[in-house]
Amino acid sequence: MKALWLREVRAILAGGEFTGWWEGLVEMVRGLEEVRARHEELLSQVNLTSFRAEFTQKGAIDTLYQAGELEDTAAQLLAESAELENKAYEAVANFEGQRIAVSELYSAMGAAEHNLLSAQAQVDELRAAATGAGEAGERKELQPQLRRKEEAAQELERRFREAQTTYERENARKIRLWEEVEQLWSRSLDINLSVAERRAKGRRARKTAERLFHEAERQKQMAEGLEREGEQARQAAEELERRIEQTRLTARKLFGCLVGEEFLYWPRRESSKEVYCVPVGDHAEGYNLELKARGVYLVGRQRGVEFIELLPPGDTLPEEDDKRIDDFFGRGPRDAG
Amino acid sequence: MNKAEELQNARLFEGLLPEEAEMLAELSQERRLQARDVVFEQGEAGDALCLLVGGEVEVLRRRADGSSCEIASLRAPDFFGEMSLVDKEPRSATVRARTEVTLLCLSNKNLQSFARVYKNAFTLVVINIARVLSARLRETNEKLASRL
Repeated sequence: MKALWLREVRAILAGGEFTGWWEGLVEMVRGLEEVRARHEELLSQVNLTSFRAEFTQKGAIDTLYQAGELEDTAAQLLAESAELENKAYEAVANFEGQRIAVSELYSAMGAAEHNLLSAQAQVDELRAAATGAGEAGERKELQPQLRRKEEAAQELERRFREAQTTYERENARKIRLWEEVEQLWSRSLDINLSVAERRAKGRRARKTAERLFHEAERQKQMAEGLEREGEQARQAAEELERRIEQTRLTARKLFGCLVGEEFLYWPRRESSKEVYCVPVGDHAEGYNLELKARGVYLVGRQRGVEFIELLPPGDTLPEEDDKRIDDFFGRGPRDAG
Repeated sequence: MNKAEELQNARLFEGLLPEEAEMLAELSQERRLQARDVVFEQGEAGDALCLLVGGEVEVLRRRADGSSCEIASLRAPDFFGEMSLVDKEPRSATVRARTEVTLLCLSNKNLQSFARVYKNAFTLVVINIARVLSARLRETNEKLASRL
């Protein structure tokens, strides 16, 4: 590797060949950064979309399970409703039997009342006849008749009260039986309505599950598409990296320099201990100086870019002409602070 | 930011020629901090001096019991971190940003590069540091005397 004078390095950097090489390299590096950013973005989209697909699929399975549960519950309720319907038929039959019995009791009670009223009318008639009879003999003859009638009427009244009590008791039972029928019908209706609702919910859940399965499938396909795009971006990045490496290595042949990853180096002709170093890109951080692309800096042969120095300035004031230090020492006490 | 201009406005670099300020500007590194960010901690090895270009910092000194007290607050174009440059001792205090802060930092090694090229200018910088340290010592002496 030939050592160069600074002017030679500057001439190389100012030449059209170097400018073309550097601009091409910068273009490729910029392209690589874009492709890498695109690749990273695609990877994160793949992960996100895959996660969404899994999440949607899980949602679909859960919803399908819920639909099954709803359908099972509806079937159980339907069985319960059928049992209640059967019980209701039995209760209606019981009620119907009771209704007939009560109807008969009502007729019997009416007959007993009729008999009682007839007997009481007869008693009243006999009593009136006895009171109206003129002779004592006639009155005496009517008295036993009246007593028998009165006793018969009392017996009829007892029977009527008994019939009335029986009727009321059995009628109350009939009402209770009817209430039982109504309760059974009401529960059965309630369950039937609930069954219908659950079936509808079950159907809806099944449809939702189907929609979610389709959505999960769509998301899976989307993730696969993104993965393919990501793979293409990765390959494009690899291709660019290969081309950048090739371009970088051509610098050695084109410009007679050593090629580092981020710098080009030329041994310094003015001093065998130093090397000219030219950053290919800007570096605001990471080195002891803020480096500008294509700027010329100096590094030691041993330390390399661990410590980078600026080039010495071309024209400096000869030390003997610099009076600033003398001025400082020549100032009065107040000026010196 | 024109770093050379900022440097020339600072008392630390008073008397430097434009080309000297330009070189120092190239050797300095810009640092931006948020309020409450620590620039450096007391006890750390000091390897750079810092010029405040914008914002305000507080200088905190640890007491024996571990608590901290503020001993100074600095604004642009003040500078700090020069003591370690002179005596090579660890940082004597913690410096923390009070507001958003912009600094220009000059590492000891970069100052050494500067000194190799511009010996007189470096001497001026050292004189300026000595002047500031001297002024601070005078101020401290006066405070001490008023308390005794």
